[in-house]
Amino acid sequence: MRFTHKLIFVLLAGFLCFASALSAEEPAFPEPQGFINDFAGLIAPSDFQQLNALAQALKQKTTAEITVVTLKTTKPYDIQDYSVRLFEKWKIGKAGKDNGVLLLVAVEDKKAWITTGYGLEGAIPDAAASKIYRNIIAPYFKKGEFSKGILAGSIVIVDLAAREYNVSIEDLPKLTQQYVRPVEKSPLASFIQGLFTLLFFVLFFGLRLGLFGFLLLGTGRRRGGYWYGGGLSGNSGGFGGGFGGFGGGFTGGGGAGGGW
Amino acid sequence: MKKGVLILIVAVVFLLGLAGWFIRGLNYVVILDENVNQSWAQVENQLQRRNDLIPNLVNTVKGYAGHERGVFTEVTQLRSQWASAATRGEKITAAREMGGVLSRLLLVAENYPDLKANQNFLTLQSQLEGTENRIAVERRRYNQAVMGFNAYRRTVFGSLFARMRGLIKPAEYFEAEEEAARVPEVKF
Repeated sequence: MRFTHKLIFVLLAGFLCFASALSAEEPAFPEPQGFINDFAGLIAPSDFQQLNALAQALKQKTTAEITVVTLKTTKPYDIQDYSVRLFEKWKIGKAGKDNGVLLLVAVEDKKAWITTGYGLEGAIPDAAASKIYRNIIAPYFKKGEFSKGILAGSIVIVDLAAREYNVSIEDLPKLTQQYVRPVEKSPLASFIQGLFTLLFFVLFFGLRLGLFGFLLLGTGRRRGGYWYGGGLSGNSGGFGGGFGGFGGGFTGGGGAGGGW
Repeated sequence: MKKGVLILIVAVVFLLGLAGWFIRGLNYVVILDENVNQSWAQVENQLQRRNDLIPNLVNTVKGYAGHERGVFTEVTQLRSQWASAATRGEKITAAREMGGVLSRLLLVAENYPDLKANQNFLTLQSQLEGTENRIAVERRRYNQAVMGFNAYRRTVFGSLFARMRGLIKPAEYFEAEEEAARVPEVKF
């Protein structure tokens, strides 16, 4: 009788060990804590507040959801794969609209990736995501300024998403001024652009909107100071509402990123 | 008399339950099958998108590396093979081979610094990269759907329901290209 008891106990213990070994195989994905999930502890408190406010404002005005996640590593997955799986698990973005976007930073892997939901692939195409990473986030990260890099990148992402829905978000122009650096033009490039502008004006007024001038209209158009477009006009709108879980969005694996 | 009514009620309830279970089973197998089809449509979208990028890519690379004919003919062949593929299996085969050849084409490009600096090429390359990422995601979802369907087909009653609905063949998995993982050989 006692022997049977022991046997059962041993079997049970063995089974439990086996089961826990099995479950350890599958890497666990964390649960969302809010829009901003700083698991690696990279984000300064003031930037955290700012990011959270931006994410809430974006959700309130557009239903789009932006999430920032920082991790030490995404192993055993590579960052793109991990991003998509996390996106799938959290279901970022509103169901049906699939308008979520995830900025994932894996600090020990020295990699970052922006993943867009199906619905935001138009607002943030891969090329734009890649540029956000290379021109805005990576320069900060190279200097070890993770918090600022994440904030700057998020500002641009929020800006692009807000434009898609034709809304403006309070503080965004100011934040853009403050954190997002204008792309520096080489002197030669600005000289050539100046030349074209001059040529445009000469032709435009010289021919008084003749066919030739009309054809050249496109060439002389000046670009804004930032690579992704012109400025935004301010518009007031209160922040409100907390994080109530994500909406049920899907991603098709759009987005881009890289290593620093 | 009372006993008879009770037995009748029990029998009716039992039969209704059985019929409900039966209908649910018949519907479920169709839902799983449609799930596979829908996931496949997503995969096919992305594969088509990749195929649409190819002519531009080939032309750009040709401008710098015109003498690397082997790769170009292979790409063209595979492209028409994809276009003429009728069944899902044929499409999967064509797509897998295309993946391998494209990675070889990009490797060829590595040898031409001028090409690597070409803006058009860089744009195409990043678009191709984005498409490959999307293909990988949709392929995984497709394989999950296939697994759901195939596993159900092999359960005790699942096989019965599948046969009754005429879904006799298991769905086909879309494995990743092995060639992409292997280092392609470079001929000079």
